Amino acid sequence: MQTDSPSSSTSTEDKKKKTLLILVLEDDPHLNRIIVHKLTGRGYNPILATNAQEAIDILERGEPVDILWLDIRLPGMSGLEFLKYVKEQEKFSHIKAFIVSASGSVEDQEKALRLGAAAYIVKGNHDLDEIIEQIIAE
Amino acid sequence: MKLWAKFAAIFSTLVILGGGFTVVYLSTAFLSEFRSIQETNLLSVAEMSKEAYTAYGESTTVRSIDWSSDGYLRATVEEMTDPDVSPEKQKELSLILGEYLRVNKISYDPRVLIVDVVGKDGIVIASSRADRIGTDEGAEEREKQAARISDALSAKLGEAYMSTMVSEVDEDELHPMTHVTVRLFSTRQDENGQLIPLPAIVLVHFISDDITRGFLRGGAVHENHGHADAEVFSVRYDTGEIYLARAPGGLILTVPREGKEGIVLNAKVPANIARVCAEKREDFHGEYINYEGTLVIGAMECIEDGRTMLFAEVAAAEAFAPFYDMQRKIIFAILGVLLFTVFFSIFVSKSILRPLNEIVGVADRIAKNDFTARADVRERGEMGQLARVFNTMLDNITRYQKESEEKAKELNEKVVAMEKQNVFLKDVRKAMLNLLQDSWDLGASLKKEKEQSMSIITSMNEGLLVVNKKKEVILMNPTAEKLLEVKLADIAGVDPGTIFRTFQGDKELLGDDKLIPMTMKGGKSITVGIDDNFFVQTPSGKRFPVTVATTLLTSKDNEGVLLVFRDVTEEKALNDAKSNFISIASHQLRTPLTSIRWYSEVLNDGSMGPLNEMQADFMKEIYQGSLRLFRTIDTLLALSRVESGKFEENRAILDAKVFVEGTVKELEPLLNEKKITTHINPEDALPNIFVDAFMLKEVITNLVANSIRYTNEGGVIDIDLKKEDDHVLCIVRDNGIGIPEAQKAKIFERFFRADNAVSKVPDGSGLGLSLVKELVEKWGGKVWFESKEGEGTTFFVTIPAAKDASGA
Repeated sequence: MQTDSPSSSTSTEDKKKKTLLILVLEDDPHLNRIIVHKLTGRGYNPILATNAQEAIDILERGEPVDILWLDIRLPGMSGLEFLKYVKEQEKFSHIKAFIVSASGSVEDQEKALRLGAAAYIVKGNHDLDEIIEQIIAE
Repeated sequence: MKLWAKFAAIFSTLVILGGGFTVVYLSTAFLSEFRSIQETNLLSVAEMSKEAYTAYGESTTVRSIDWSSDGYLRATVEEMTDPDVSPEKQKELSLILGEYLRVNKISYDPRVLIVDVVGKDGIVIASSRADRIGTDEGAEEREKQAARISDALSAKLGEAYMSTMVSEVDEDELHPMTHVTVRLFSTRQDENGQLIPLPAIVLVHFISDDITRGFLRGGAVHENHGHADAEVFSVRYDTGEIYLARAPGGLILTVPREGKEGIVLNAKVPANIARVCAEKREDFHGEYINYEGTLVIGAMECIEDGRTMLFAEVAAAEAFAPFYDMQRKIIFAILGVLLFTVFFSIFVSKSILRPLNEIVGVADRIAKNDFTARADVRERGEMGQLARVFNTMLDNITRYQKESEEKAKELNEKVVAMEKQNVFLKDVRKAMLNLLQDSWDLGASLKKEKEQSMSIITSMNEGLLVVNKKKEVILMNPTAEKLLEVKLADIAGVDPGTIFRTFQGDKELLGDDKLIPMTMKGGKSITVGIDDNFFVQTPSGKRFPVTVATTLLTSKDNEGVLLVFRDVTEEKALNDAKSNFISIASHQLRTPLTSIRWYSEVLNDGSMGPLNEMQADFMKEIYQGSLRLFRTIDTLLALSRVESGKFEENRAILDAKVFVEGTVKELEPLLNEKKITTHINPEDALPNIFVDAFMLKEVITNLVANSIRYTNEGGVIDIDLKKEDDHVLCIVRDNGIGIPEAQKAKIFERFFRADNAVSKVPDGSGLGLSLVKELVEKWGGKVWFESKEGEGTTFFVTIPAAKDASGA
């Protein structure tokens, strides 16, 4: 997906909302519930996966995902391993990926950016609105 | 450097310096002498030409005076100038006179081109050329300063005036011309017997081509030696030239030669030289740039009128060519002499100093105890004498040495004999002591001591292993047997390295890297701690972490290594758990907190329906509380990470201004809430900083957050960044409540909060400043503050500057 500049008109914004499919990979039931709620409320189209395998299945069955919202600590395959997998597949490598993790570790951050994440966001440091603004702006 | 080489070097240097000086001195002296000779020669050439020129002038004036005395001429002119004669008659007379001059005068002297009779007003009244009648010679005189009509009009009998040469067009060719004027006198005399002057003069035009060629070659008019000299002059020098010049018109008359068409050139002589003649009537010789722009050496002879000059000159390049040629030859000659001298000095110094060297060499060998050395010098004279004395002295030394050696040998034999006796006595004494020991039954108490030691070794919790010099196991306690799953009986006399494998982390230690060989080789004890990550693997494959201490045993007959080790499986697990705690706590605490933050955010954004005022307010409290808890957790985690030593500093080069701006931006919600403004004031040309980004962020965040917390609404926070020595000074200044004087000393203590801080913000953690201090000290910086209660607080932090990178 090629995003327009952040200062696009309202009509473009609306159009973008309808077509933006956001895959949220977050295992914590409390967090993923409020994320999905918020994204839906703001008019985006979220799909939830609670582990990496689920997320891979969603991509493989051909869902036209535009944005990945990835936690790092997950049961089984980690968010970073999933990111690596996605970026290595030519058919998925164009999807913008955002790491939203509770970990503020510098190593995780460096690793994520090296693997091709568009941004690394530390979970507790931002409101949901702020995170969504940043993702849409990218 | 050898003596002969030194000698040769000094001598050569002296010769070279002397040679150089000679060349410079001779060159200077010769050049000045040569120049002087050249100039004198040129001056005499110019002088000869001047003589020829003067002689030529005399001949023309004599000729002119002779002609002006012609009776018919005088009578006719007298009649013509008579005011009573009618103009018609005058004209007739003029034509007759012209004819007379042409037939009776011009044809007798080929040098004369025209003869004019000029009236007192300067107008030609009669001429050998009829077309010249009426020409205003007076005007021509003024214009060219040529014929000296005005002088002639007042001249005495027998006087004539010659002009300098001028160029005039005759039959379309330029010719050098000389004009001579003579006053005409009546044939009659006055009452005093003087001839009466007529109001007219004769003007004779001489063509001077041949003459000029003559005297410019050095005196063809006068047949004297000057001519020959000048011929030699022009043959000898390609660029040699003699010419006549007239100032100020700049006319130059010169002999036609290769590259020069005419003999009349409109060119200028150097003004300074012309002035010498015009103002002082003096001659000149020296170097100058001539009318062709060539540097020449030449001489100028000044003619008395002050306007005519005769030059003789030669291009400097040619004139000095013989000198430079000679100079080159002299330099080559001196170089040759120098080379010869240098080689000669080397040869001489070598041959003179060789014997001396020989003696020095021998002395050297003797100093190294080779007394067989003798100087091989066959020279006569002092050198040979010295060598012979030297050799004699050596013979004597050798003789004395031999004698003393023999004496020493004798003594030595005596000592050996005495020693043998001594050993025998010692053995006897030892045997007697053994007898005494047996009888005192010391053996019993030794046995008891040994048992005690054994019981300690057996019961201790650490594994103990002793190997001998050949790395064979000779002792092992039960703990070691248990841990390593072997019996001493099974492995006694075997190298333990062939049974157990040792790892550091995942890497297996092999060969000399193993602890026992390393201890033996290094000759000292080795201690392996829990953080060194050592593991031992038994033959069954069981692997456990260990701490080890080795000791080198060096008793007289039992050399080996003592190895004490401990299974630290439990300690290690505990240690790992401790370091895991930090990341676990981070995740386990932050995830539910994130829930609280986000849920209260969503409830508050109105999307779930409107809340009443109180509900919204309470929800805000929950939200704010979660934010505060985040900060406290982050601070606590950072503190424990730094304290536990698990925190690894990861320094990077950062732009201080950009970094501080970014950090402050993240605090915008807090700033906006209290309407506090911040100013970040970086100094110009601030260097980059070299520091761990996480640590710096914690420090700046804590200091600014503190300032926000303890400053009233609408306050101001200033952040200055300054360069100081090898660091950047970050200053955070607020106009908040300040710190009470009595509590300033405790401000960096953990969980300490000042009284006024507690009353203003009841729920601070009291951890922020202690973290700041820990972090700043970890990066090698300093933190301090200045504060006045009620006025504000300023914190100072030093941050290391990046080396040789400017932050511009």
